[in-house]
Amino acid sequence: MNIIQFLYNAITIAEMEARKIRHDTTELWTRLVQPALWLLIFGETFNAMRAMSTGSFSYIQFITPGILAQSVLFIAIFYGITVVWERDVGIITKLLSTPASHVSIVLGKSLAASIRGIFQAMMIFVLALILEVHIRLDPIDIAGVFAVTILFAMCFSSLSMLLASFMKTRDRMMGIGQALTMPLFFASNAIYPISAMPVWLQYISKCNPLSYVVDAMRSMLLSGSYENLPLDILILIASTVVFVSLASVTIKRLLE
Amino acid sequence: MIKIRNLTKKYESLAVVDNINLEIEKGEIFGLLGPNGAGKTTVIHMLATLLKPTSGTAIVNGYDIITEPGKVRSSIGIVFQAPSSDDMLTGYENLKIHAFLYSVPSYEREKRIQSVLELVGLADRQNDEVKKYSGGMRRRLEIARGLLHKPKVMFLDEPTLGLDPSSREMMWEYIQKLVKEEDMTFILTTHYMEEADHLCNRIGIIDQGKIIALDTPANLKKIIGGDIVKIKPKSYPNLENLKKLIYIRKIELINGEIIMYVDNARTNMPDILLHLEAEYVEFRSPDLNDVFLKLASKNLKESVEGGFMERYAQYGK
Amino acid sequence: MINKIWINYKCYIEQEIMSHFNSQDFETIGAIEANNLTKSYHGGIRAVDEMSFTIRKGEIFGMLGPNGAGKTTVIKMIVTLTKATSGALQVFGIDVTRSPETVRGMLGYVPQSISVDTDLTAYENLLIFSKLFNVSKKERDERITSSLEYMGLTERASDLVKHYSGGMMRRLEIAQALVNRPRILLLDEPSIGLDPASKKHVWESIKQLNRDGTTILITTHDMSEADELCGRIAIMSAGKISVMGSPTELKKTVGGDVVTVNLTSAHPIIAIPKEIGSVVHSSEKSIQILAINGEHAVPPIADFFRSHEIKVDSILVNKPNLDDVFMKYAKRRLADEIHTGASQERRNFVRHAR
Repeated sequence: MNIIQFLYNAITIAEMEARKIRHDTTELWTRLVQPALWLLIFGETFNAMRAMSTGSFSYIQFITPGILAQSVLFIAIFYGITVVWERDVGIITKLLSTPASHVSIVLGKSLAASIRGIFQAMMIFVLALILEVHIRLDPIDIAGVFAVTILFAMCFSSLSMLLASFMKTRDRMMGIGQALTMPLFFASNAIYPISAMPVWLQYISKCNPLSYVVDAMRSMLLSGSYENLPLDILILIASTVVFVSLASVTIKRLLE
Repeated sequence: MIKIRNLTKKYESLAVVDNINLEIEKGEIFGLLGPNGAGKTTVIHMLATLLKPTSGTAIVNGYDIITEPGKVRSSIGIVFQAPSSDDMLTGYENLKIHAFLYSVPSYEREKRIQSVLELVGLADRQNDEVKKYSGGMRRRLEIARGLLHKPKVMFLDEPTLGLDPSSREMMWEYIQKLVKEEDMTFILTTHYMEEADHLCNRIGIIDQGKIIALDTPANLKKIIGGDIVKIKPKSYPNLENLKKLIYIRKIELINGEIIMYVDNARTNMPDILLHLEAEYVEFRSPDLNDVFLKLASKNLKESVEGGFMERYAQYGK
Repeated sequence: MINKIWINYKCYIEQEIMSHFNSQDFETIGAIEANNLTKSYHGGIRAVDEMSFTIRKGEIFGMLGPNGAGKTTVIKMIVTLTKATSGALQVFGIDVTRSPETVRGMLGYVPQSISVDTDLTAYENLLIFSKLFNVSKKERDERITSSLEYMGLTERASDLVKHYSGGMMRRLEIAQALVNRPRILLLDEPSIGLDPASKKHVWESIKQLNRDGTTILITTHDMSEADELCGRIAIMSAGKISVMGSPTELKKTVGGDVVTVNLTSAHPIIAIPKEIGSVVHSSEKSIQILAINGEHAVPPIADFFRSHEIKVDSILVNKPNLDDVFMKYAKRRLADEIHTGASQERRNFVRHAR
């Protein structure tokens, strides 16, 4: 297998998505509403109440990385719906009938999801600046946040595609997306520290990949202490590789 | 049954439907033909009150589409190309939901559902999920749904698209049966000229928003001017001799074959063969394909250069 | 540098294709060969049932059959989108399961439903696919331009596809398959939903492609389309090929061409020479002659009657058409009403597979 060819095909699939976004950016803007509400209403309110002990950071500082991770999670976990829709209109059939390997197509699709994730991250940076949330603006950290965002979106969108190849319909994917996002979100350290949870939930949140993502982002945006970072990223890469390879085997099931 | 008066629809300055006048009688099967994007669907949508005309109006079943859209809607049924029945429900359940939507009175609901199922020949399959239906059966279920509220007029958009020849024939039979037994009026669009010929009493060919031909299939075929005869001569023919024959309307030599338009080719064939030695002879009556291609020939030429499709694409905007 | 790798890769595919032909003569190999091809779904329902056929290089081959007969499943197996349960399938001698990517590299596939991306422009649709088909950067522009031109879409190349008419979308579908310069083009219902003029345009393009050396496999419900385009036809029914042959051969099987000669006045029955045809029915004023080719039989028949000084009132030729053939071999006039679980299930699964 020619590795350059492989990567090139994957990037082509992502390019397809980028071009679509360029023709119609509406979705990007509407996706901004939810995180803005979280930061503006939830964040500001709890910030004023000082109800939660979030260490040396203000509450709005604390949840900014959490909201970033959450909104990327939403995009990624529902990406399977886009793929099911593309199956319905025949695009997936067409893509799978090209000589590009199926792994490169799944990889490309997950990259496509991360393109949307990157926009989301940029928007949240802008929001944070507008709301004067103090975050570290070190270029390397920012690059790191984007890298984690990309990996994170790839990881969960490939999981979503894996699920989609078994679920097959948009309705079911909608259901499964709902069923996954809320537990993932609430059983993580996105909007409150793990220490504030009941003990049983603490165990669950430690198995939750979202916690590691938020942890990684928080360490780059807020604390600047990187001791957990290698582990966070390693777990993310490993699960991305697993999900992409599994999904590329199962994707053909979508057509059945 | 339907009276269309100066019906016009413009998008910006482009007239998609351009001042159409048309009357359709009760009990007719009327075929609306025309190139993709000629305005057929727009006409049907306006008649079904889904789209507001820019100017002009139409009377459907005695009601004006502009002033009495509600009454128009309750007297028509419309079946679109894309199937809109729910796959996961049975044929019966689909109909029941629509009976509720059209507020068919409860005492009549069951009876009505059973009778439309009977009409389209799905009564014995009503308890199967729609996903188990064949393409033809799905299409018929759509029609059954359109029939639930006993419409006087039925609009069908490409009723046999994607159906195999036997399912297509079955669909034709059901439509004819409905006209006979329920005294309904049908307006349908199609790209299958055989279908239009077989099914329709009258045909309107619409192009660039205007009706360019309107008549019975038989009369339309007369436009061609005689039967089409193709003869491969054994030696170079003397066309002048043939041109003298009164029953030959038009004669041309194309790629070594003589193409003629001849009155009553069957009878005159022996005589033609007296005038030249032929290797082979092909002759047939004109069909609606010939009519369509002749009337749309101006466009056809442009389409090769990529001109006419483009104009139609504008309509979509 | 990257460019070079692409070219190498393209060469590599070519080599891989050619390497399969060392033992065999490339000229004699079939474009698509299927041997006892079977696809069964859960519960042993067979969508495709031990099919064997060869599609020759350079022909236009038509696959006809009722909805759910297994046509689309066969195409899916060729495009390696679904795996055969048993049997062998080779494209230019290459096994589809062994090197699916090489096989896909030789194919252009136009599915039945519109599947171009309507949120992109025509140019972008072709650009993406030329990249996925590993067309080198150098060649890309030229191929996109020529594909667009071939299908008459040049002027509207930079418009979003969602503003196109149905006919244009269909042509774009074919243009998209063409950027690959495929050896085999698979067309699933190429002219569905097109008006007669656009249909003619698509037919002309298909014929031109075939003249330029592309092997073409089409499925269609339009018998006149099959008759017009196909060199050979297979009629499928319930996962099997019920009959295969050229349109002319097939039409013969439902009765050949019949030339009816009506006489002006009653005439005693006369013998017609064998080389003209055989008399199937004759009365005093009308004679029906079965001929191999109706068109060619008319002149000698007219000559014959003239030389015998028998006045002919009219001649007509009755040719069976493919619809008759279809009705005979697809034998399912009322099959959609059949209750038997198996066929119903099969259709269900097949539809799902689609």
